[in-house]
Formats: sequence, C-alpha cells, structure tokens
Amino acid sequence: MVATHKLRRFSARAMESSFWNEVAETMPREQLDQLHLVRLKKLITYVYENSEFYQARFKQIGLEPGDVRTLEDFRTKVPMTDKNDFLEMQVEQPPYGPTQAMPTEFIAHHAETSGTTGVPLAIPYSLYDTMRYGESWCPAFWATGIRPSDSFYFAFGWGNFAGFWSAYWGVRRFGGKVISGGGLNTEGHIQAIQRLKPTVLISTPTFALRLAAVAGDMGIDLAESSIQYTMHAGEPGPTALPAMKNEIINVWGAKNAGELLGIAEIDAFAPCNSIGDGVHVDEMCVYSWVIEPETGKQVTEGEIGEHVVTSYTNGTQPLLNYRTHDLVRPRYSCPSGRTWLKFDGSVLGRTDFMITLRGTNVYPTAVENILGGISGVSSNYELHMTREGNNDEMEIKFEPDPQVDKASWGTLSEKVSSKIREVLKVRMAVTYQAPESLPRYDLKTKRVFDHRPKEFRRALDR
Amino acid sequence: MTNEERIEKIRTARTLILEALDDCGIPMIEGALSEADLNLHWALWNMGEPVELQPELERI
Repeated sequence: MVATHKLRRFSARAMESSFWNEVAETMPREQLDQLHLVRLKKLITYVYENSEFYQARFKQIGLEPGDVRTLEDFRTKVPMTDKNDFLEMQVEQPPYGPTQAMPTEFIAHHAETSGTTGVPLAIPYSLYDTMRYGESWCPAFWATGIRPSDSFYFAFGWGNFAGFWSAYWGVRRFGGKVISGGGLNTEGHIQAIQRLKPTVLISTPTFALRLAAVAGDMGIDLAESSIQYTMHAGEPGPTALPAMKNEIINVWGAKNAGELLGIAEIDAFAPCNSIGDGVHVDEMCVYSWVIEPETGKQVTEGEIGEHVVTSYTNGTQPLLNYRTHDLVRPRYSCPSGRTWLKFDGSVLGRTDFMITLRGTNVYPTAVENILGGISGVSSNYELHMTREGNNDEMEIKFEPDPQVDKASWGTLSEKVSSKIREVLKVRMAVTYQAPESLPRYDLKTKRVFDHRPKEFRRALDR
Repeated sequence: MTNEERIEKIRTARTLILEALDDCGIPMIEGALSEADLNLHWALWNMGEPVELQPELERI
C-alpha cells in the first residue's frame, strides 16, 4: 500500500459535520410536515394501485386515495394495521400474502422478524429497500462518534433475521469495513476480536456484556481490546438504560455506546442522538405519530402513548399506520439539534405486555428500567408473570453483580422490592439468583416469561 | 455551490442516466445505470425533494 496517497472517500468538510445528513436531520418541523404530506399522498396512491390488501381494505371503508388531503386525514381516515393482519395473510398465502406490492422479480432479499413472540413475519425487500433500510443505521453511527474509517465486528450469526442484515446493509452504506462473526461461538467471537482488531462492536446489548464476562473467564480483559465504540439494537440498550450504557462502556473500555430502535418489518428507523438521551425517528424513512392505545387519539408532546408508524421505504411490503405496541414519550425539540421526532430514552414499555397488579397497570419495561438503575443488580434478570386467583402477579428473579458479597444478596433483594414499591406503587415478589445461574442468549435475551393462561393474555402475547 | 444548485445537477444526472439506459440492451450496463439512478433518487429524497416514491417501478 502506498502510504502517502491523498485519496479520501469523504471530504474534510464532510468529516467535520455534526450530522450524517444535516439537511434532513435539522429540517424545520413545518418543512418536514409539508414533505410528509406530499409523500404520504404518493404512498396512498401507490398502495391502492399495487397492493391487493390495501386496495381491498380501502374499498371496504370507501376510502379513495384523493380523500387524504391533510396529515390529519391520513391519521384519521387511513385504517390502522397490525402485525397479526400480516401474519394471518402470510399463513393463508405464503410467503408474503396479498400485501406484496411489487412484482416478485423485484424482490432482492428475503428476511424475517426474530420470531421471539411467535411465528416470524416474512419480509420481502427490493434492492432499493435494502439500500434505504441500511442507510437508517448511518445517523446512529455518526451521532455515536463512529466514522467510515472504522471497522465493524458483527457478533451474531447470519440467519434470516432482518436486524442482522440491515446492520450489514448499514455498514455498506456508511463505508466502513465489515468483519463477520457468523458461525462462531462466544469464545470464537472473542478470539476473532483479538485477532482482527475491529474498532466497533455491533451486537445486542446483553450479548456485549456476555462477551465481556466470558472473556474474563478466559483471562482476557476486553477493556484492553481494539473496540472503541459499540452499537446496539434488538432490545433496550444504552439509550434506554443508562446504567447498562455505563457498564458496556466500562467493560469494553469504549469511548461511547450507541443504540438504534428498529422494527424488523419496518426499518432501523430511530437512531440515537449525540447526547445519548433518546432516539429520533428518521423522518426521511417513516412518518410517525403517537396515540392513546385505548382511544386511538393522538397524544400531546411529553405524554406517553403508542407509536404508530408508516414506512416510505418498504416498497415491497408497505406498512401504513402500523401499530407498533411500543410505548414512547414524544418530543419535538432536542438540544442535539436534530428536529426529527424524539422518543425520550427509547421504548418505555409495551402495550401488549401490560399486566394489572392489584389495580395498577405495570409494564415489564418499567420494571427493567428500575432494575437497571439499582447499583449491585446485574443486567441478568427475569420477570415471570402468573395468574393467582383473580389477579395477575409478577415475580422478579435477578442476579447480583458478581462483586456483590453473598451476605448482601438478601439486602439487595429488599432494596429492589422497596424501589419497585416506591416507583410503581405495587408489591412484587423479588428473589435473587446466584451469578451466572440464569440462562444466557446470543440473540434476543428472553427476560419476560408469561405463565398466565392464554385467556388472560392479550392477543399478541399468546 | 448552493444546495438548490446541487439538486439541479443531480436531477440533470438522472436525466442523463435515463437517456443512457434507453434502448441499452446490455444487462451489465443496465444494472449499473439502474443502481446509479437509485442512488441519485435517494440523494434527492434526502435533500427533501418531492421525487417519485418507487423509481424501480416508475422507470418501467
């Protein structure tokens, strides 16, 4: 290699930019909304003309594409969709059912949801869909401090899960170096990181901690490794759980840990910001709004509600007014300078995992957030939901941090119980488990176990 | 160069690509030019331009 060449992929001015795309990320709200209206009108016409499913649904309620003249019209007239709609159609007409909106010859990639809540949803992508989906990772990389000169280690296998592939498409768009960890076990990943010296780790947040723990058993301190940044998705991570962020940064000796909120069938649509206090909806890729789950009415800024999303970039399987069941707190301004709709933290809970404990609605994510803030409680815990008589109950099983003295485990349990009572106003059974006793997962960590009879669960949990 | 001027140049580039695609008949060249057009469309989209939604289909 000639060491003195001056060729660069990006200009010096681009490298100094605070944003991956300043034009889009700082676009004034009024301009964003005007653009959304233009794009949503095109989208309505597109799905009416190309998707059997949407055409039938619109005809059923007498909706013509021309009926949508304002954003309010879009929110109130275009019917909501749900994952179950798509799953049912795919079961009847595999692989994609009547929602496929592009000719089969345009499908360039097949992926699926992770299947952690049941049957995986099949997702077709055109070549352009994969380019756009990948791009969604880039604002998160840039805001975290990662640059195209970095090299990315992918600590996961390469099955059909869309999240893996979108991360790969993202690094390709970003211009970074891809290092696949596919096919390796946990020890193999650690050895590969030692040998190949990547600067960025991409994994689920819990697997980042798992790698560090296993490395410790191997006598390797990953804080001394080449990794400078970590990027996470798939479960609540550094933005949602500040304690977890500190732990990841600490064990990896990293400069920063970022997070991206995505939904496999939609997009990697919400990158973290440079402050790390929330994620922002990429308004070039999706149109989002937040509703009261019970009434469907739009909530005001700062009020918690359910995120409803429409994607511009899934041309092959369009999703309009798609109910995510994610509970978020919307904000329309941010000190980071991004004007895109912000969700404080990230996802705060799930509408479909809510249980009622003695008259109080409790979301497992709220419990997880509390656990993450208690010193001495590790990131390994499980929440077990049961039905006792006429009441839902929740039990918390947690592992203390390995450095916590065994004699203090009982006191730590009482501290957890008392904090839960103080914040959520409910009493829960709390039990400690010896460190390393709860199961570990390479992909999405299973934390919530619903043992209630099916008739007491919401539809999506069954 | 202002962003408006940049947008105009990207639009011109798209026109040139579509002209080069016309009656091409070489699979390799058609594939390369089509992908180039997707990238240019994406650049316009991300500059906030009200371009078409699905260039893959609308080009046919």
